[in-house]
Amino acid sequence: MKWLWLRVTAGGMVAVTVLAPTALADRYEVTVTVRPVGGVGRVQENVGRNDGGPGSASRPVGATAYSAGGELGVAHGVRNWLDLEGDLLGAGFTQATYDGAWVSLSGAPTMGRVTRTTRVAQLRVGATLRAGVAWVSTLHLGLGLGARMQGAATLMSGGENSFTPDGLGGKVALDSAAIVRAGIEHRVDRRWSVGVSAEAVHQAGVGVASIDGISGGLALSYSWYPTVSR
Amino acid sequence: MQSTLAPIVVVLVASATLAMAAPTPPQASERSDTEILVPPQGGTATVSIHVGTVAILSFPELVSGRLALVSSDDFEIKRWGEKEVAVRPLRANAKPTTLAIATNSDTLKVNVTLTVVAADKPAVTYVRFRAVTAEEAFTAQVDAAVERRVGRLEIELFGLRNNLDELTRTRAERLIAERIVQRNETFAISAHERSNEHVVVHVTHGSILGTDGYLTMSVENRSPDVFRVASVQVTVGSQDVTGAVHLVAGVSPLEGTLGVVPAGRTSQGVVVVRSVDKLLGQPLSLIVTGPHGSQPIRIDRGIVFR
Repeated sequence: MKWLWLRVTAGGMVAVTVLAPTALADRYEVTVTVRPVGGVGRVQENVGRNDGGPGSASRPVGATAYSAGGELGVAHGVRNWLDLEGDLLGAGFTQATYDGAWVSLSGAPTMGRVTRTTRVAQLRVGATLRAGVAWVSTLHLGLGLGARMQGAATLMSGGENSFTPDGLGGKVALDSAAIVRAGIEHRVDRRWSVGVSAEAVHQAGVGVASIDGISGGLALSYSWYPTVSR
Repeated sequence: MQSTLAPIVVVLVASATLAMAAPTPPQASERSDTEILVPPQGGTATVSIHVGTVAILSFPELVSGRLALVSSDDFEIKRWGEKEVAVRPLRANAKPTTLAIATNSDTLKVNVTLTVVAADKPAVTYVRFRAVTAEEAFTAQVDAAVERRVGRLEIELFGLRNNLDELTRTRAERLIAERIVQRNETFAISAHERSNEHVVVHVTHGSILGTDGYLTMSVENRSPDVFRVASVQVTVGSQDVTGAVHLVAGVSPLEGTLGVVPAGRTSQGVVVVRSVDKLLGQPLSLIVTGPHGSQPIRIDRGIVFR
């Protein structure tokens, strides 16, 4: 999975380079963007059997889950080819399922099928390289900080009975992210732009396993020149 | 007609003397030839000669044997062939001398005044006399008179033009100096707007010089087509306060435009805002338009003189 999103990222960068005409963009402008996104991620959970013996930490195991969410971004053109951008992200993953998970139930090691949901909220900042005028190729690099909200994990046992394994209750963890996003936008008129983008993200949290994901989204942007009093 | 032509005697055509009336005088000591037209009733001519040189007076037919009536002996006068007479001043302070010459058929009679001029004055070394009709002589005289007059006017105009440039510059410098003393401030402005065609206008500075304001602007053409700036207007509400507009477009402006901004280029410009001292604190609008009001770019915020 990691190789997949790396390839997607590299492909996006190449696409931006190829699509980019001259390096001209929107200096002085402020742009607000709404970006609905959907994707797929590899959500890891520490439910793998570790052969280090009793009491040793669990090994992370990944499960695929679909994601959906939205971003609200604000960007300011500091150069004709460079925007500084801040984004608010909210997204949720479908239930991730870990077959053959090794967990503890009331202190007793148990193997079973564990499911869990994850949602994230992040504040991201980054820089966007822009190339083009009417058609604008973009490449965004960013970092994010936020919260990862995990629902209580469920261990299925006996088909109908479900339990929450030890240490896998609902919780909120500090989360960080590194983002690469490539896209292309079309300037419809002096104010409005529409676009598409593809994004790859790696999330690492405190006390939680990492998430790698790729997503695609649409972008609707409104731009204007703010009045600056001096 | 004939009687009115009587005083018109000789007309110098294409002479060095005439050339003196031109804006650029010839070399004063330049030696030249000249042609003198003589009407049927005869005429007079003045021939200027440098001391130490010989001047040839050439006639279209045989010169009569009567080379009489030389008014002084300060000149040596000799026949030179059958149709020419050679004259040479004998001393630098030779008095003007008249010499009456007629041709054999009496169709050409002329009384020539020989004068010695300084080396820095124009003189001739070869003079052709030609018999012409009275009309030709009159026309030539009128042409010569017109040319002399026009030449004088050209010289005067040339001088006036030079003086005018200098005068204008001096007055402009004085005006600028007065205004600098009165008030001289420059401040940053950050006002921008763009058109749907991706032409962006930036107003970056404002200046107050005396009672007038100046807006420094640039027109950034990010479209794939040239942008023709037809007008730049500064308004306060509905009042037009635009003064002179100067746009450095890098391309010669077409007729009816202030400038042409090529695709992908940025051009700088300045707009004068008249009597800005009465507009302090009021928001101004700047409107840049293409030909026939096309592609209007209007900045309504951020332009204030304080």
